[in-house]
Amino acid sequence: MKVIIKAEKLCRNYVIPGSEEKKEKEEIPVIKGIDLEVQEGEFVGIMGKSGCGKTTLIKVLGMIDKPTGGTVFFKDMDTKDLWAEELADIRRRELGFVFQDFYLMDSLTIRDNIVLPMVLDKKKAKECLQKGEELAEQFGITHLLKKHPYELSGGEKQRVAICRALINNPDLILADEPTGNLDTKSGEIVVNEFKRVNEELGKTIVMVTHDPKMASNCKRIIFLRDGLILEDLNRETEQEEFYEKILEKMKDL
Amino acid sequence: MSRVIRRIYGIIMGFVIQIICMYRWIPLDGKEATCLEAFLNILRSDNTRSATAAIYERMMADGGGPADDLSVFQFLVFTASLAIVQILGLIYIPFSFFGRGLMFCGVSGLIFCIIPLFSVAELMYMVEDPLQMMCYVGILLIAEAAVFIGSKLIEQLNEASREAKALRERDRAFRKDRKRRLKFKGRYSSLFYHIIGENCSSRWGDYVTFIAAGSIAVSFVIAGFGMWALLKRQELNTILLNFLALSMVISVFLLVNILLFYLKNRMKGYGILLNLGMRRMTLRFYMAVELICCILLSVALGFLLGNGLLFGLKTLLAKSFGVEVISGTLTERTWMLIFISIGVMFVVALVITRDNYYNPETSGAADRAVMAEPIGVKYNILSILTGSAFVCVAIHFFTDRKVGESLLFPGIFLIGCYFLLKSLWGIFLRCKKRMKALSYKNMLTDNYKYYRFKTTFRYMFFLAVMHTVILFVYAKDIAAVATAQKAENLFPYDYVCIADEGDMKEFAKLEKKGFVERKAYPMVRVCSPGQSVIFVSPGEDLINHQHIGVSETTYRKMCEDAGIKPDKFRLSEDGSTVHIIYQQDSAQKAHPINNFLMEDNPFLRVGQPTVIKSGKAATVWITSVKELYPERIVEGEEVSILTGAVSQGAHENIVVFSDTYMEKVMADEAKELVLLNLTSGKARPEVEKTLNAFKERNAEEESYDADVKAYYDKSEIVPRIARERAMNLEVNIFIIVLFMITGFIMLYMKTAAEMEERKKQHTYLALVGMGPKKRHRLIWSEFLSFLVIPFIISTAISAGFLWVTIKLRMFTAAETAAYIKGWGKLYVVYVLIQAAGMLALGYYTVRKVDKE
Repeated sequence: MKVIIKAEKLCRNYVIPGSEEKKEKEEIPVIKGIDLEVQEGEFVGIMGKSGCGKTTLIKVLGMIDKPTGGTVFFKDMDTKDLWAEELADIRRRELGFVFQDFYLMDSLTIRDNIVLPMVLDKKKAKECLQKGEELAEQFGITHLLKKHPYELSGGEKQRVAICRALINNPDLILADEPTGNLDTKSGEIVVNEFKRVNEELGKTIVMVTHDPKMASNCKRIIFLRDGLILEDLNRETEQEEFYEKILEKMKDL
Repeated sequence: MSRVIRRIYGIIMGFVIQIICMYRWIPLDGKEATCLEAFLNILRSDNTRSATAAIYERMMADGGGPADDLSVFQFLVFTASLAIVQILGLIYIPFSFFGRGLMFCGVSGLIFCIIPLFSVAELMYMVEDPLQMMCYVGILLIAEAAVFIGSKLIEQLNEASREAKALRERDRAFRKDRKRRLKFKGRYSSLFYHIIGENCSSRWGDYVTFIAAGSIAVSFVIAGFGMWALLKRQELNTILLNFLALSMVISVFLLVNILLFYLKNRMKGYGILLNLGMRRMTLRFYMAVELICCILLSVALGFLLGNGLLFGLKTLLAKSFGVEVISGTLTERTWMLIFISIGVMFVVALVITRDNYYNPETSGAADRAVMAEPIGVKYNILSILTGSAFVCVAIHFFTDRKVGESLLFPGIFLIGCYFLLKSLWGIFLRCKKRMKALSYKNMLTDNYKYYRFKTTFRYMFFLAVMHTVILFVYAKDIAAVATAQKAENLFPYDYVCIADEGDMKEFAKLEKKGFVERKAYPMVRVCSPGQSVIFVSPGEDLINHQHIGVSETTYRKMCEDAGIKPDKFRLSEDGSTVHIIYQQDSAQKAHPINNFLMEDNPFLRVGQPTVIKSGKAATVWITSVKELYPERIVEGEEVSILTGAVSQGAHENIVVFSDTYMEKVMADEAKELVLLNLTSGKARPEVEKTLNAFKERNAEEESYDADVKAYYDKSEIVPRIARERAMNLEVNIFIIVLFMITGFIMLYMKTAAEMEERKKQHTYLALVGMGPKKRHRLIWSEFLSFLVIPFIISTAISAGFLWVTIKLRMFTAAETAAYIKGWGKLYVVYVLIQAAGMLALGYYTVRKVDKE
């Protein structure tokens, strides 16, 4: 299988402005040299305690944030060699994002939100709307298309975000705690959708989560601790057993 | 290309050298010859020494003896070298045609040009025309140097053009690659424009606020320039210039804040679009379109609003004082200035807020909007020292009469306050935070001050400056005008005449006929260089200010006649010390009799005005001014009306000299100060007839300065002063209203910008169990701090400067009381209006928050 995304000695530091106690600017390393490979068709979960660098990692992998050290290869392309506009093209065409706080534009209807990446890719309006409706039907949100994000529940918003992530038929979907703001039932629906997208549509998914139950749906779990990979766990057993294993590993975090 | 240049340059320079070498200047057999000809002549002769000596001796100055061997040898070397230069030049031309030998010829030519220089040093003392010899060699040397330098440059040009070519190729390849990689075929669908439109229309409130505030800023500039252009010929020039400067500063502040507010609100949407893969250039284009549209609409609306304001002001003034008060017009030049200023204002605002729109990062944009603003710690000591220095300098100068109450110093004071207060407030907040008990007690009320330190300080300081400007600059003037002496009371006499001995008979006749009561005092003209209030700089033509010089005895007599108690002083017999009486009302600024080059003592000349023309060197100019206008020491000063405030302190002040000195100067410069009071109104035509004749006789006296007359008529001046005061009042009130509107807009913008944040905070506080009353109290306490703190600062500053002004203007106790009372009333009204505005904003916020 092909490697879709690869990180080599990936580092990301944040600069904190001087505070009352510490007058000088402070550089805080969040990711401290991660090596990682994700292959096509994988459903990878990233787990770890708060502040261990999960969101930072997914932002860097998604080319939203720039690494301060190391390299990210997307389909064998070194992202360092790419211009900002090329990164934007990759984000639009080959990546799909799902965020914890949905990141939908309140000014637009659900239909407009879903088709936005496709519209930004200069696709024809008719084609965009048709694809949008198809996806909405698949995810059972057709009745919501004319509404605005603020009229929807959390679960519904997240399904809209998934539709939006899939609209350009990307190869890789990056999800940052997609169930974080949802109740258990809505969370399950969302994760089942991810599972379906992975299994039926063959999309690669990298998902950050705190929830071991949700994580047990993944085929592989990467445990992060203090900006480093603690363990890379592959699912070789049934979901229940995998869930138990995850719980066990979580004790070490 | 470089080969062609090389060839052309070589041929041209070859011919240039030949032309120089063809110059015939060496005497040879009764005619002039070139160096080459002379050298060939020497070579052809049997005896080289005698042939050389013959030529050289012909060149020698009269009286030069037979040439010695060394000189002959030197001349031979000289001729030979220059002949070689010509021969080399000849060889050089065909070589140049093939683009070769440029460097060789340049170097060799230069060497053979330098060799004769060693001979020239000796020969030039002997020959008849050394200048010709030096020029010839010099010009040839320059030409050869040009060949050498040119050849070097062409070589470098060669190298550079090769590098440039390689660079161009790399650049072309890079552009080609970039074009290929960034190719983004096709056009955006209608849905894209629909989405962009929807996104824009959903934030129409932001646009409305932006355009409203932007148009107000623009209208301010138009109003400022317009008022200045329309009324600049009136006595309001200083007020209008101050307003213009302030309106520019406030407009920039308004624009910066509105841009920050607008961008902060738009940033989340921009961030989503970038995350979803919108190209940065596309986003920047739409951001620019949005901004440009808003700016253009602001300018258009501001243009209408500004013109409306001007029209309102014009109508108001014309109704009150007649159309003749609108003494100027808005010319094309004024409009050009207006639009350039507006452009500069927007550019400055965009540059200040550059980081916010130029780099909307894909991540962190939303975080940045909610990021805490750190309380600066790095430069506190420097900031306190700088601030203190500014404050001290401003106080030191403003309390000195010589700066004439210039608003520059309160401006410097406020800049100092900015540095000082920002640092001190930061230190205070940090100390307070360290005191845990106090810090936790006021945690909620003080939280915003810590979290948004810069924004809070910026708004508070802006409000404090605005209040200070209104209360000190404008309210002070309103109070001064409102409480000043009645115009009639500024003139104890109907006519004030500056007469000569010969005129006295006519005045005596008038008195004899019973038309007037007359008083006459001996006087001399006293002139001061330059303006009394505005600085004069070296090189300017001096305008003489003219005053009345009297003796101590006359002064005491005049005081007695006017019912004023004279001051006590002792003046020197040589006239080096003087006592000055400023004849002006209490609304006029305190200023020195002159502040020539900002020196402490005045420079006063007894006698008629004189003119010192510009064009001299500064030091000569200053020295001659100082010689003509001797420096005097001011023994004492007072503000009194002895003859009348005919020029409101600009001219015709009274300068008292010692009796001895006056006796001395009266011999040459004696004049008579004649003060007339009509016995009845009926006598006026007859008196004016005499005065007109007097004026004609004294036409020369009036020719120096249009403001200085032979006689002054109370009935003419009193209505003018009354009109000026009324205009002053109206313009000041108009300006105050404009500033107040700006202040409210600023506060509204701040409230609107922070509404979402405030709603979140109050939802959170409600969730953690804080009751509505307590939450409302929190809002009110914040609004109260924005009302009280700026007022405390501005009241302290205004009161301080007001006190200095009272002292400078030498108010009596009654005048001080009336002035403070008048200002106090304005202060109360202003505070009440501000409080009402703050109350309205507070209610608006509480309602919005409660709705949430």
